[in-house]
Amino acid sequence: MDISINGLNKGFHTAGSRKKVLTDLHLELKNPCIFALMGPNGSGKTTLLKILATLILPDSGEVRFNGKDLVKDGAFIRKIAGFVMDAEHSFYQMLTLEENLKFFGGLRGVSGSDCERRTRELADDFGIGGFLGEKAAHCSSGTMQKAAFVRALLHEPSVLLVDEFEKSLDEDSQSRITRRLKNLKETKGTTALCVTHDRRWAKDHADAAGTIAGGRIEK
Amino acid sequence: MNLLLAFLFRDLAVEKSYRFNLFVKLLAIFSQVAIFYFLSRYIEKPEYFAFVLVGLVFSSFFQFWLNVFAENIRQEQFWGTLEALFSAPAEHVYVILSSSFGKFVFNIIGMATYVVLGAVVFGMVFRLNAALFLLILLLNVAAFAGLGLVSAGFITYFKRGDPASWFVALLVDLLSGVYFPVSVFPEKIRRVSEFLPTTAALDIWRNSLLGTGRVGFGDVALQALWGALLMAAGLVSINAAIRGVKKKGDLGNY
Ligand SMILES: Nc1ncnc2c1ncn2[C@@H]1O[C@H](COP(=O)(O)OP(=O)(O)O)[C@@H](O)[C@H]1O
Ligand SMILES: [Mg+2]
Repeated sequence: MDISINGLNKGFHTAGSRKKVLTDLHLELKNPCIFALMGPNGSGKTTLLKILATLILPDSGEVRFNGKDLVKDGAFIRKIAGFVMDAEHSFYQMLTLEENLKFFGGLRGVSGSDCERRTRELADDFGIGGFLGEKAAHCSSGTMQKAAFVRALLHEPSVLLVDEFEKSLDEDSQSRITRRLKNLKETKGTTALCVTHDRRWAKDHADAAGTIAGGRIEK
Repeated sequence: MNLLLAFLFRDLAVEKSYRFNLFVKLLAIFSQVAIFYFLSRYIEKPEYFAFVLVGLVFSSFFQFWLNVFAENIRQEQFWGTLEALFSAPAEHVYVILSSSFGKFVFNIIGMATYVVLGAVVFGMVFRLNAALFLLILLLNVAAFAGLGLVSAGFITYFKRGDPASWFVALLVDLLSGVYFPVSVFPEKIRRVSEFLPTTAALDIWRNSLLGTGRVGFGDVALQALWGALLMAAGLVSINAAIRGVKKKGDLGNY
């Protein structure tokens, strides 16, 4: 999957003034890769990811996924992309992990035995197979982060957008998930764009890395 | 279809976790029906029971569509799951419409409960014109859901309920002949009342369920026109609201 971002701008109105977050941002990702996105708190990492997820509209600029325009073909982008964001709150707390994953799978057209099989396989791989029957409200934040990875991978996306990759994950879980991402890159050509604060992880596992500073990505 | 089933199973699972909900709702309907049955006996007007029962069903149907989308969006904002819903590949409007499917099924069960209670327990007689009833149901879904989408647009963008919809619901209960025929109003209020499309709609409901009077082509055409206009307004407003909130960047915020 090719991702190309050209001259992207985004600002927010806050307390009467306009605050620029992303200014003339460029990024080209060709061929399947793992891209590590870094940057201090408040630098615009989540904003960029949400723009790519079609949850925020850019002010100007152009984003294309395999040539398809992000703004015009929002539904297509959502179909081929998977998101790992805000894991702890974005699940139904009163439902079990399994019920949650069944629902979100259904939203994406993965249902029935297909959904069950993939849920089971991914959950086992990430070490939360034993928690599928637990209510989300009772799960630890690490378990929820892993559940968010399962949810994002159920429909076998060709792009994976991950906010706060290592959030609440112990080392073993991090390396299991990293292994999975590498495997998906090799076998399915999945591109993963991962926000991380771990320079070491970026150095050891990412094919490319960039840091957001002053609203742009510096490599 | 997948989308509808996903929402239905989710809502069933949620209902299950709040076990008493459905039962309490059915109990409320039962006592409401009983109250009006005995009221109609007390005032010695047995035909009033059928009249008001259809009014109650209509009112619950109207309020359901007026509120369901806004309530759903409010709920998802509160739970923090709205962004996750909007990550679904379908157009957002389909997701919002589908998200009401589970509640729609519960609402149908509620409406059927009124009818079954009325007929079986309290011996009310229906003279059903099924084709006409289904037609008016469909046209009114378009109209009332259109209003509901306007209200949903409001809550999506402003993060709080619109002040108009509870007032509209009140107005309909008061002026559209839900509890009593609008002919009892003084001249001026009656004019207002007859001007409201909900009054004409409820007339058609009574005609098609109880076999009272006749329904002309013009009456149905008016409902169709009104349905088309309100649905268009609803779609325009929800789409504008979604666009606006994505610009503001706070889609998921509560
Ligand atoms: N919806 C919004 N309204 C106003 N300001 C926002 C909004 N979303 C983000 N911001 C601001 O934009 C900046 C970047 O935020 P964010 O992308 O979350 O940073 P990061 O993820 O890199 O920590 C922050 O200063 C934040 O306060
Ligand atoms: Mg962030």
